Amino acid sequence: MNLYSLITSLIIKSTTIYFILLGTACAEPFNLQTIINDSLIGKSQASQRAQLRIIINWPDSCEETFTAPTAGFIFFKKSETQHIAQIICTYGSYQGMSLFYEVDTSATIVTIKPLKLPVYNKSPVTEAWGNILASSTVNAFNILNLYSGYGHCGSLTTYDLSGNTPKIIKLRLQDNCDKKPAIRDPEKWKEVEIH
Amino acid sequence: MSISISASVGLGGRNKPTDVALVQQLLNNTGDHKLTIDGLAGTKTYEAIKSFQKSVVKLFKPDSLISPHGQTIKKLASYNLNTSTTSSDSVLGMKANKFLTLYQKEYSALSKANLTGLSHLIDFIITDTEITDIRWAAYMLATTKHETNHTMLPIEEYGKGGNRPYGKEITVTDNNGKEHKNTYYGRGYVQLTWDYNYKSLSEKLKMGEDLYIYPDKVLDEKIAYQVMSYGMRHGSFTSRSLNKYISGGQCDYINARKIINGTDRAQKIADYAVTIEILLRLCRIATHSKNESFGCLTKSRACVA
Repeated sequence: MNLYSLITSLIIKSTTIYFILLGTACAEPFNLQTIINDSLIGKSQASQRAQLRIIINWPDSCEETFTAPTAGFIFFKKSETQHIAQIICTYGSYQGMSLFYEVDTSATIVTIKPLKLPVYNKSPVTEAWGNILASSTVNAFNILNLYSGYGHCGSLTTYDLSGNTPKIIKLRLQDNCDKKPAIRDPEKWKEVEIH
Repeated sequence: MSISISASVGLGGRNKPTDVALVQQLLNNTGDHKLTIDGLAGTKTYEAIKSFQKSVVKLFKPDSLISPHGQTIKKLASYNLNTSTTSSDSVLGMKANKFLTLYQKEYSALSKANLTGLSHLIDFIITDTEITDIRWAAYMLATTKHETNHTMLPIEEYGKGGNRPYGKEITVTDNNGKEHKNTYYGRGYVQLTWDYNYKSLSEKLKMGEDLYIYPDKVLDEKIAYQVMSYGMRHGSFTSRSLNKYISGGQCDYINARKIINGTDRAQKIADYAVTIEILLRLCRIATHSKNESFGCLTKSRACVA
């Protein structure tokens, strides 16, 4: 058992006692790396959400709106010891809202950093609406944020995750929901020059 | 609170029903007229405008036409009585045909298919005993207008879930053992996505597993309406419900957007809701009483203020 596992194990043991005292639930021992690895291969379990929350501790406001019977989190790999965790707060009607955290397991103690995502012409956000789509670029993902279920307006943003903070590297924007004819393919929306 | 009209009202004017109704209310507030507030400009409304222009505005040539930035509307605005701003009347007794007429006068003429779609939708709302607040009806219609790109018909998600997290094909088995390969992409007025949501809404609407086994049924207008009505009232989409934003004296059409999505275009949909609420009230007023309270119009055209 390495030091990290030992610390995690100690945390879990403490947490288990805590739950027993409250008489609510008894947490199963778990390993963060297993949760990350399971997520990377698309095998996350719904039960892992509660375990992950013990470590990341996302706010109640996010947990209260999450009603799906799924894990509701996804890890994106930055390096062997650095990952971005997407915590889904709601799946919404046609797109969800998520929080993002950088999870660094390089040291003996896991470091968790909440991330703000830059948004074109607006302040960065911690609560990001949209569907996360895979990107062909390494260390990047796309967020398709629709303004309407019809899909004719919204933004398609590619974020570079390799640095300390996420950066927009590509943006397609269809801001006008009344534009005719309606363009429903986000890849055909106008690309905005990013400085 | 400033009073304004969005387009001209009166003889030869654009006569959008919400503007006409506002002018009719303000003219009645002067105490000199007893117009029926119906949002429809006719001879009596023209004559009342002319009389007001002559006796109060003192126009040299009264023309029965009020422009959005002219003297007549400025004078009329001083007769705003600031009556109650919101009320939770039901949709009972509404006349669907009148609503369809007013809606098209307010926005623009709909194609035959879209008009039929709106007609069905308003019929569903009027007969839905769970819609106990006219403002819920207004917000549902406003949401539908936006989410369907003004078609007022159930839609299928563009791309049918391709590369989306919920877009994987799932094989399900019906009661007869027959297998169905389904993809639970967005369908409806307000889109239903994910397999478990199809299953859950199907059960809540007392349809067994019908929507789970046959997801295309959500494209049926009546079922699409039931999904929207139940979902928006019970918070099935984001866990936030109509009641949280629109209830009693509270009417927050802007934040009500959170029932469906984030706040992108929340103001635009709120504007639709305000207008549609007025149109719905006009349909009730003509049916019920000429003297029914009509605070929403005189206040701001905005329950959201």
